[in-house]
Amino acid sequence: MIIEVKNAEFGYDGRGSVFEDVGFSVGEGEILSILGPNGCGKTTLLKCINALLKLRKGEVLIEGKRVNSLRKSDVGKKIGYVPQSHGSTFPYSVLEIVLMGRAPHLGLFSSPSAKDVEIAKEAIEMLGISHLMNRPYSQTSGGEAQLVLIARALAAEPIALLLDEPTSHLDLKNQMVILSFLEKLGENEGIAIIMTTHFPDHALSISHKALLLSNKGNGMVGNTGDVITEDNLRDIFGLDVRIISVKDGENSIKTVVPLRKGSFDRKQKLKGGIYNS
Amino acid sequence: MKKKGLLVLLASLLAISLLAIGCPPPAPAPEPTAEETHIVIDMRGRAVELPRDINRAVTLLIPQPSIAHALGISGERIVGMHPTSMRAVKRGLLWKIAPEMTLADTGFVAEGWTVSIEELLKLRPDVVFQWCHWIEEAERIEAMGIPVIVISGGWTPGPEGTHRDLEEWVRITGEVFGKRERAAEIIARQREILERIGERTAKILDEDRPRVYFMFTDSLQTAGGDTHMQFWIEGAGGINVATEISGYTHVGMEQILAWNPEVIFISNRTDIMPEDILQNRIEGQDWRHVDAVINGRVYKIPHGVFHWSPPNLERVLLVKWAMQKNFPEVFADFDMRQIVREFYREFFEHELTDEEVRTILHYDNN
Amino acid sequence: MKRAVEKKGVNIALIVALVALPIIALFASLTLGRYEISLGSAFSILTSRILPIEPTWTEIEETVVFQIRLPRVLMAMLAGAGLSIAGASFQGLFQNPLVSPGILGVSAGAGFGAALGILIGGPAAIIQLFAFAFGITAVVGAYMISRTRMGSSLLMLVLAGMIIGAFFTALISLVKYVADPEEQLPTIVFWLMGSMAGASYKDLLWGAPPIFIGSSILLLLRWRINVLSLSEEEAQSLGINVQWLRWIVIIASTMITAAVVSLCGIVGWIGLVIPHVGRMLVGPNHKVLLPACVSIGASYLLLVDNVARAATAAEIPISILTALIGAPFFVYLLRRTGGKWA
Repeated sequence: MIIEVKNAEFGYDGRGSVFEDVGFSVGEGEILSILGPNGCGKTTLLKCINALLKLRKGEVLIEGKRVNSLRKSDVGKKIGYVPQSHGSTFPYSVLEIVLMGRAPHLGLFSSPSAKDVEIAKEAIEMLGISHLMNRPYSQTSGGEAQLVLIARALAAEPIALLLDEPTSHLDLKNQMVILSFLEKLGENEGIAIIMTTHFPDHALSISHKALLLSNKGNGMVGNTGDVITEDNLRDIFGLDVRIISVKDGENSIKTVVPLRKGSFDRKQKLKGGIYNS
Repeated sequence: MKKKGLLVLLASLLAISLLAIGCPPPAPAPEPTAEETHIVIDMRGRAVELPRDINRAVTLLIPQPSIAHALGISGERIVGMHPTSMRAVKRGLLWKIAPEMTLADTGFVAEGWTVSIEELLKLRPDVVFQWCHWIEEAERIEAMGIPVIVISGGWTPGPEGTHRDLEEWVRITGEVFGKRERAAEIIARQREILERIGERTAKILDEDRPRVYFMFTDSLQTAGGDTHMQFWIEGAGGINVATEISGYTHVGMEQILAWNPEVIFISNRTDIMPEDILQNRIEGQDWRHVDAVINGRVYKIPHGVFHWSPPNLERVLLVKWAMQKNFPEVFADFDMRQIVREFYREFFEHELTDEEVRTILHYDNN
Repeated sequence: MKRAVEKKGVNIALIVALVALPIIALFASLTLGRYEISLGSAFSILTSRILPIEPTWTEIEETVVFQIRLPRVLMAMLAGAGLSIAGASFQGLFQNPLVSPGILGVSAGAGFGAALGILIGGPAAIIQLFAFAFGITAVVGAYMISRTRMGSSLLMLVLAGMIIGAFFTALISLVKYVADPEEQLPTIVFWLMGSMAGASYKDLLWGAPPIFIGSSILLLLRWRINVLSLSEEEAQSLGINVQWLRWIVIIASTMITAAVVSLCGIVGWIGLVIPHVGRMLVGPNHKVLLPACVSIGASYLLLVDNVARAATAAEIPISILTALIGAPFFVYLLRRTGGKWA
């Protein structure tokens, strides 16, 4: 296993836990999606995996080693992290941004070598954005920016990738571009991928496993098809849904259709944390 | 507990303030009659109504205590003076010849030349002396019903201007304290002395006049052509190397080398002595190649009742003294010790001891 | 591809210019000054230290060039380079291009130290030592205030720096208030306005090492400062020990600024403006920006100090000049970039 999470519980100082008793594992080339309502702690959980935050209970293992026992640079080398957004005060070029992905491999006082630049360029090529290389990051579109951040994470040559809502804020086409890329990345490079998402469809389309987090703080994990069911989604989101299949030649694509009727009947008001999903 | 403490504090504060309000107001002073006041025109041309008897004067003018003493005004009549004046009093001769001056209050000065009104009111001054360019501050004091006389300390441009300023200053001070005759006498005597000196310096050829550098502070600050220093440097037959600059300004060492002064006079603002310059002991400054240093012509300005260099009565002595330093052969007839003795006898009614003469002239250092 | 090649060509010309600029400025400045020395003489005096030349100049000319101009020129360059590199590093660290090296209170602290040194009538060495020590104390104080259990956040740090800065500014006023208005106050005021007039080799001997050490550390870390200028989480996810790295940058910058203030007083605007000029020329990448700042900062302050010492017989306080030139230039930058700092 590349990443194992056991009995994980997290809470901010002096407050109740955000989630508790969460456990799952992701192996080589596997994709796990984390779903759940706003404020259930998806992003928090993601940050616990690469030790940006510390669990209150339980542990995270990277290739069998506790993440907190690893050096920060080693965590950075093994786990690539793609945040929801990146905002820099300074208009670095795309190449400069991607090159920063090499930081965990470089000593404190060293700058990237020609080899590092080569690796960064490869990552950029892999995402098909070579034409953006010298453009300031701030002048890229939402879809392009997401690709740049993925390239930066890949420049570290990681064994696992954490993505925080990689498809939010993107148009339909770009959503599919990212999903296909992630799927291939798992298949071809054997990278373990964990992503949070608001779209059950996306989970159904590419992930092998899924974790449903509820607002009550407990989770449900298993193969995607077993976890993302009409019943489970209704329990977690408080909303009636239908899962239907659409034929696309040979393939059938499963999609989740929310039923609007009655969505407010369960007193499930927009509960907490809408602004910090 | 904390709250209780606060309450007690508040209650006591309230009590104190009530007490203060409860105090009977000071008995209103009887309206001065025409006999008891007179009008004095100050140096901004303002007509200031003053009581005839000034017994409690406060002055922000640094040299004022020495001028007052020369006019025969008892130190007891000066109840407040600027802290810098007080230091000059204690450093110079005044503490010896007019010890009552040291009793004056200095705490009423807030910062620079601003006053703390309440501290000033406590002194119950009959009149306050303030500089001309602090007119807003003067008006603030006047708003309290205290008359203020403003004086220009030799800032009217040109040597003539500074000279006239000082005469006016002496004249007005005499008028305020009822010492009009003594003031007129001093003015006339000083003018006479200066005129006599002027006759002798007029004979000096321009090419013989030495280039003079005035060291105001040790950080290479000097005095430009529009300052009072120009008056005595020129009066003593010298050429102020810094004539082209304005005010009390910093210059660079390289500029001094370019000016290459032949004589250097050191003010009493700094503790630097001629020896420090002659031995090139000041860090960050290189005096070795300056003519004055090569020829050993570096002098510390004397300090008697007051520093000799700022505008005050002793400037007359400074001119004579500097003349002798500038032209030792021409004015070999000047016996500075005798001149100093006579001057203090005449203007300050003080008989100097040999020791005092030595101290005034910085004899061991010059 | 063609664009990239072109860009590289421009870069080489720019690098050559940036290397040559301070060297040319140094030699040109040595021929400038109030004491008249012909260009030929100045040149001969300079080369006489390398080549055996029969002296055709006076001893005093040699003194002017080597004892008065050279230490001052070196000090101006050192201070300019130091403040600029500290400013650029701080702007990166605080992710804010409006930050100057004094943000954590180091200038106010050092200014207070110097004023205190003048107040107690200490010699130059004591004044400088006090300035340096209180500059460091101020930043340590800001750090202590900002420290919470979670480590210290940048926002807390900036706030703490403002508090410390205000506190030491008040202490400066207090010292000015109690200082002798005739003897000490003018010295304090003049000192606070900044001046290189007193530059000597002795000053450089002890002032240069902290500036050199601090600058070397920042230059070595210069690429990491890129990563540091991202959000804290991003930087951390890139395997960087953010808290630790921040403190190295802060300590190095503080060392530089405290040393500069103790050498030549508070010289404003350099650390704020020069990094912007640098970004205009070479872009935001700190790997290139920091060396560029060394070159531009050294040349710029040297130029300004040349005006301060040679334009008129009177010394012009240097911070007046840097502000008079810096403020309009900043306006120009603002209008040009629309506040985007591109």
